[in-house]
Amino acid sequence: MSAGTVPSRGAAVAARRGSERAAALRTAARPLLFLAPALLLYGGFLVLPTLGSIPLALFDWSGAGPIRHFVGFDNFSAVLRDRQFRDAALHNAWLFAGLFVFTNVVSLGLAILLDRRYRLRDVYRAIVFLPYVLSTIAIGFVWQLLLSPNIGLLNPALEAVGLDGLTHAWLAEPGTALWVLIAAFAWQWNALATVTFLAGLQNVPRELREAARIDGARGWRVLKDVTVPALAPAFTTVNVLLVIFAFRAFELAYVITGPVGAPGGSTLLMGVSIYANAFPTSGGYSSATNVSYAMAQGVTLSIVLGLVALAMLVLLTRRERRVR
Amino acid sequence: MSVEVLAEPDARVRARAAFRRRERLRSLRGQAPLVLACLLVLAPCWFLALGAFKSVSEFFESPFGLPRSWSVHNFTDAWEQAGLTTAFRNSVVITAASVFLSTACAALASFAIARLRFRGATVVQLALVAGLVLPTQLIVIAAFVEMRWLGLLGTILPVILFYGVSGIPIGVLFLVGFFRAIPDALTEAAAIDGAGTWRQFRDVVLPLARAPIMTVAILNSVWIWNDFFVPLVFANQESLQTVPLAILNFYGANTTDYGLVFAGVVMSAIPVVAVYVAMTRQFIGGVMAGGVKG
Amino acid sequence: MTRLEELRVSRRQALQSVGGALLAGGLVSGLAACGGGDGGSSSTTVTAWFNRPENRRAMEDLLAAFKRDHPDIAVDVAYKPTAEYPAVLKTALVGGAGPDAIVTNGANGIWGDTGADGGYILPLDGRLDLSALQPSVQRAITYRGHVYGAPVSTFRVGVYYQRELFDKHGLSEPTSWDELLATSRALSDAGDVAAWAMPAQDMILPFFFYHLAVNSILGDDSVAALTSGRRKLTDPDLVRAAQLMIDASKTFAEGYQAVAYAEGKALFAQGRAAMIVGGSSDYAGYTEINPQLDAGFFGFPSPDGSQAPTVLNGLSMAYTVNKKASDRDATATFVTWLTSRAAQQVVLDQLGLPSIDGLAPSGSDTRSAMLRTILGVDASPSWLDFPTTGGTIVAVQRAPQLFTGKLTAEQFAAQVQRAIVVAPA
Repeated sequence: MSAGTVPSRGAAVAARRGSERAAALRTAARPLLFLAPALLLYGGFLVLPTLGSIPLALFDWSGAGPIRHFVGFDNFSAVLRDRQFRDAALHNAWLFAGLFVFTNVVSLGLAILLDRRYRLRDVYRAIVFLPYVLSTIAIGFVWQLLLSPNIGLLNPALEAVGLDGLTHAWLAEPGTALWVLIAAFAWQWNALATVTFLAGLQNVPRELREAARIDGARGWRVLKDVTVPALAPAFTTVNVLLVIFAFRAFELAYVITGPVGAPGGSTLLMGVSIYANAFPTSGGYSSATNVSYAMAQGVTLSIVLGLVALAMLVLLTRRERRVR
Repeated sequence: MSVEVLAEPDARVRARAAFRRRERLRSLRGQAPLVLACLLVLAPCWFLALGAFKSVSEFFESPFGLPRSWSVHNFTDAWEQAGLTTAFRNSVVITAASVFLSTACAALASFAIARLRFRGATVVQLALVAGLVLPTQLIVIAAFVEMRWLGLLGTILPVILFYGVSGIPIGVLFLVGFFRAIPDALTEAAAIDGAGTWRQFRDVVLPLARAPIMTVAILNSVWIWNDFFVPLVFANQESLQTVPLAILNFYGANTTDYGLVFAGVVMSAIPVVAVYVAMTRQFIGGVMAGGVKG
Repeated sequence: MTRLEELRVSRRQALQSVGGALLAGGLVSGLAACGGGDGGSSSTTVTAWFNRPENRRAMEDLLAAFKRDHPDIAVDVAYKPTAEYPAVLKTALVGGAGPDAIVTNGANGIWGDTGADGGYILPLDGRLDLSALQPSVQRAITYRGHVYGAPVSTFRVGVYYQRELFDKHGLSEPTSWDELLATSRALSDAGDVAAWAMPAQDMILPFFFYHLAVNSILGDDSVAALTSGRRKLTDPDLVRAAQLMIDASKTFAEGYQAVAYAEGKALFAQGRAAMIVGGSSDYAGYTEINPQLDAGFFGFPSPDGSQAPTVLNGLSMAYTVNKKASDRDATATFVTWLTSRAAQQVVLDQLGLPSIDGLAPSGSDTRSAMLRTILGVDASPSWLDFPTTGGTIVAVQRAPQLFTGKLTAEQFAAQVQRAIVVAPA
């Protein structure tokens, strides 16, 4: 045993530890490499502007001109005391409730139906997807006209089938306006939900489902035991998106019921209120906007929505793991 | 759930025939609610399309009736007046670039979150998804100042960057769940074969997650294609106009030619629907059957 | 060539203040599309925004006429969508990337936060011939002792009516509030039409109805009286104006609270409603929907008929000069030229009512006839022209509960009164 052929024990250990450390560094760095593009872009173009915008809520700024008047947290306490905003939050909650039931029954059902083989399947799928594709301003305008008690189609259609008693000034009566608006949202949202569920259904092995049916199992059993559990990730995605959509809803409501949530504020949504405070409405009167207040509203909404969405995500992810 | 193997061939053949009969009935029964749903969904879209064939006065006279003539002059006029050739080109470039950017970033990040074990994965996931919660219209002013500071105003870049970033949250939300559902056995097998993390991502995970990735791409494409606010603020020169922005110019202060608006909206929607059908045909149904075995 | 030196100096200053050659390059290439002169001795480029894409031809005609008078100044106009214009302008101004010549939506753009108050625009003292302008316009463009904008067009608001429907029911233009209500009820009771198209979704037309009613009492003194505090909207006789609207609301078209402007216009134009509160520029919208429209126009009657009916008169569009304009002189030349007779003739022919005195619509087409009718009615100043009373429109927008019964006339008047900035002289 000469000293030249066998390295000393200490050197060997050191060499192994060095390569281990290098390997450890490489393993630790790997997630970072994958995350880097998203984090860099996100940090630079979303987080940075947000951090730059939030302080605006601490001032009293109309949106243009010098930012002079510091008011601290006054805007935030005003938001919490704002009865109109609280009413709007309630309307958003109703929107969420309505969409929740609708999505997990109708959209899910549609997705399951659309997953089978039909000759006209592409046509069905294209049609279901349309509401999401068409410009909201234009389609909202059509909705408005359809519901109009003057030149609309809904009332005459009801009269034609003998349901005269059901005719209403749909968008003008506080009792019906919000629900009709929710129906319009459901119509638009359904496309998104159905498409997501459809993607999720691709994870359900077809053989398993067919096998179960050949076996004579009725549709419900297949649904319960095979399809729904495998849809867990899609279910999480759809419902988290739903929460966010329901509380950030804005464009369709702005078009159909206007900047003040006609009639008399009974269809006002938080997103509409924020937008109306930040940007002048069609009157074009710009000094009356209060971007600071809108920012305070926006921050409050984001915080509350963030907590709700987080809770939803955690709950559903846990359910996902249980199912797996 | 096990499949009983029937001993006698006759019984098996009979079972198969019964199955096929049940399937056909099921198919018809399934189509009925589908057709009904499609009719309800289609109604407002149908009236919008009808409006594209009417003049303004005809539209308000008979908003929901059939047009007097099916002449396509609204379509040609809208195309010319709004400069839709340039607008379509810009929209395609912007949408494609933005969707590619956001989908790539989201896929990479979701892979790390879902399959690479590291501390703080959940925090990163939540941080990225949290972007969905932000009111983009309120951060627009600050983003505008930032873009100006970077000297990017007047180009198409701020639009693509902003869209790319805005598409990441929904991508991460979708993909983390789907990536996690891919069995470890598959990636482990690839690792044994000598594939590094990147190869596992590219060769194992990505192909299996084609459906959700395409879904994310489509969903982002649609709202990016239809959005007018971001280009309005960042790049409103006529040479950079996108389709929805071009159509917006038909809404006047006092007069709005709804015929042109509807024609523009229809023309804008056609390519999107076509792409959607083409993409979903690829991954929904027979092609991917049995994709993920458990 | 002092002027050339001036141009060079002012441009250098602009470049420095904007910060960075890159940025300047980006802005110039972005805003001065193709071929705009960028420092040559023969021409300079002024960038301008225009927020009425439907009137593109009018702007092009104006530019052509301007080029004849000032061949050395090129104007590069970008057309912005009307509804989104305030948001785009604000963002651009805050971000330091606004146009040289800024178009305003009414007088608010002159003194408001996108104008003088915001510190974004330059005074135009001495560059305009004030005596050529209408008196109300002179008041609207003057703020804190300086002239801040070049007025391009004005608006008048009154009541349009369907002549055929009035004839059919033997009605004539009302000259008192009682007559107004009686006419409304007669039309409404007849059953086949609504008396008023009142699209109240954004509360803008109800604002004008209320404003007309108050001005039919206060007349020319309206703005001064309210600003000085001499009169309050909560004074008993002025509360009657709000009550009048509540009473008249029973004859508004069905579902009016949720009807949007587009549908409201259509209801009137097609004769499903007999009357509508409208401005001089709304007429084009009605005739677009119904080219065979046979409409009349009357001013809002005074409560007892003792005074002549009145319309509201205000500034519709003006141009201001951006402090950050690369060539302030050329920009000021352009915007002030818009008040010249040549420019104002184009305005009258295609855009709306002019801002200078002495121009009358001369054609025999229905539009000219209607404009002549409108100009023939006595006018009183619009609250929207002044910072002290301009906030009333927003206050009304935020008070739709007037029509749901949750606000009484007094409460409504009080809410609007709170938006008035009382500044005793």
